[in-house]
Amino acid sequence: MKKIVAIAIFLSAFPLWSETGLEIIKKVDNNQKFSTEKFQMRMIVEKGNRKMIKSFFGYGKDMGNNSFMEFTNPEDKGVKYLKLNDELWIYFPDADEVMKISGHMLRQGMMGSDISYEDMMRKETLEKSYDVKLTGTQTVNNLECFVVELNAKTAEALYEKQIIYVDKKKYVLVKIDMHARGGRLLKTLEQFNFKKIDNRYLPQYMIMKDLRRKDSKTTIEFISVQFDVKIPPGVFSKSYLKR
Amino acid sequence: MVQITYIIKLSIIIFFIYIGNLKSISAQENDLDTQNDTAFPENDSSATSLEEYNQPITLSGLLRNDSTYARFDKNTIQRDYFSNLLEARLILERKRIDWNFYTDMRLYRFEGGDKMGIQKAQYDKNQAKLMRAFLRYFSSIGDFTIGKLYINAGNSGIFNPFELDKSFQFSDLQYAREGFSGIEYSLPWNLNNFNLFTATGKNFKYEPVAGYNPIYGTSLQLHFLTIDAGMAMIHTDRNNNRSGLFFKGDMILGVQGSYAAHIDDKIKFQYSEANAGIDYSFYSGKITTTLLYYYNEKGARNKINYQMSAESFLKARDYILLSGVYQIDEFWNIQLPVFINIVDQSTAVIPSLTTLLSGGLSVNVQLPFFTGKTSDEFSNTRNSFTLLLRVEGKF
Repeated sequence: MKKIVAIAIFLSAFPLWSETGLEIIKKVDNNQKFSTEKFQMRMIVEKGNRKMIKSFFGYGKDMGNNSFMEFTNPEDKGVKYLKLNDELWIYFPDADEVMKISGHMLRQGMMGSDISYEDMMRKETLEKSYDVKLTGTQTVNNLECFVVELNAKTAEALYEKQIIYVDKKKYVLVKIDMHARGGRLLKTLEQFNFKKIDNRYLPQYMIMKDLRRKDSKTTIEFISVQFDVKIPPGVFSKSYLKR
Repeated sequence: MVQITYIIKLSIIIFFIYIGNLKSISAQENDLDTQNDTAFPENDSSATSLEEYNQPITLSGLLRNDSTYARFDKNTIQRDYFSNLLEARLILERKRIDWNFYTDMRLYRFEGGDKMGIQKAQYDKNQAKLMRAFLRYFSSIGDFTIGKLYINAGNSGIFNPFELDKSFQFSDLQYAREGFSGIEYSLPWNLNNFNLFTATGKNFKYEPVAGYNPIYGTSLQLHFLTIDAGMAMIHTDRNNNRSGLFFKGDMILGVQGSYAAHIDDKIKFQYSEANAGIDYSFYSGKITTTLLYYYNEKGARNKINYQMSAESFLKARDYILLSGVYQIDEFWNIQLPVFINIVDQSTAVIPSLTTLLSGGLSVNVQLPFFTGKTSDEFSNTRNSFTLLLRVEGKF
């Protein structure tokens, strides 16, 4: 009898570990998948006591492989970005000109922030881009999380290695540690205040820290986000930049 | 005494811009505080698409102040130079689904200076410029733009062979050119574009330094793989037509090139103009480098033939631009463009440091210097020390 009770107790604890890393990130991917998105955001770039605020709205398609953004804060008003796969065009209203930006510039911090154009505009399908290993559990920002190690298996992966912390209840990314090829920790991203929108959990804001930059962080606040919505025709074209 | 007066004026301007920006940031932070409670509003009332972007006319602007101080060698007529250029920019804009309206007006106040060539002598004491004022209509058969506009074929940026206005400013390498009255038709499809324009008016007044007035032109730009490439032809009012090819894209490095053949109205070849360049960034984009070669057959092959011309940006036939930008952090960056005149081997080096003080307010310090001999284009006897301080605020 004691044996049966012991086995029952063991089995009741087992479901926590019954999920594989792959199953966990499939659920994470499902929560992140969208065909189209429409967003309005605010970006607060801070270093020490200095701060700048940028606001923008835009659209995304195909998990962010195609995206369009327009800045609305006074200092960048009317500057627009169009990203189609690995190509980027910027529209400058002062000169009424569209300029093609070289692909390598996608790694640059967007508008001087800790977030690169790649980080901002592209959403990865983790299952497709990384080999997965569940390494344990940990409490992060008061949430019980799975700790999953991701190692890049395709050249398209944004980072060589990522450690992700996935909320056990909502299967959302609470924290991501992004590592370079040599294993060095490059950036951390933390997401906060998840709310359910159209069957998805979304953070209300996230904080990105580029650890190569001392005493700096970038906060992205989601003012509104809609998924699988109708997008105005022609948004993902160069001609739309002049609209 | 003059310098002190300007420094006081400048301080007042900086103070007001700074206060204005602090207020702006403070207001935005208050918005953030209230927004936290209401993020993801149930009724999405935020303006996030053009359908919802039909807004009344908006006004934005910029205030910029350039102060230049230079010390000359003993042999020159004047030992010290000080000038101040204040620019106020007002932009009126209205966006609708089918059309938009855009105007860019600029007011300048120039003081001090001896017009010896550091600060270009193109500024009267007070000047007003309507840079652009156009109405653009979007239709299913193409986009139509009418009004005052600047049309630039080829790759935009420095040393573009198709550039009509060849004036050049070391202190502002990518400054916006004044437009001309005209009509433009643009037919975009996928990532390609066909463009046709006609223009009137004689906008370029500062002969022979500035450019040509366009009469009509056309360009076709196509996209394939990761390259934008095209061809262009522009007919101008000075017995000059330019036609040629251009491309810009990615082949591991960023690559670009342009070629324009200048021909007269009787289709007789005049001269060639071209550029070719590569760019690449390192350390996750913290350092960006550019190498650009510029060739203008009209430029002098020997320094004894140097002269200013509307046909070339600078005086010689060949130049190399080496440029590096180091983004130190979110608020500081260093730029180091180096122009090399291949004909006389002189160089113009324009190191500058820019910092963002707060939202929209930036300060830029430039310390240009020249390394050539007396007769060279970038002569080190032009001035022994130059300092340019630029304060810019956007609202």
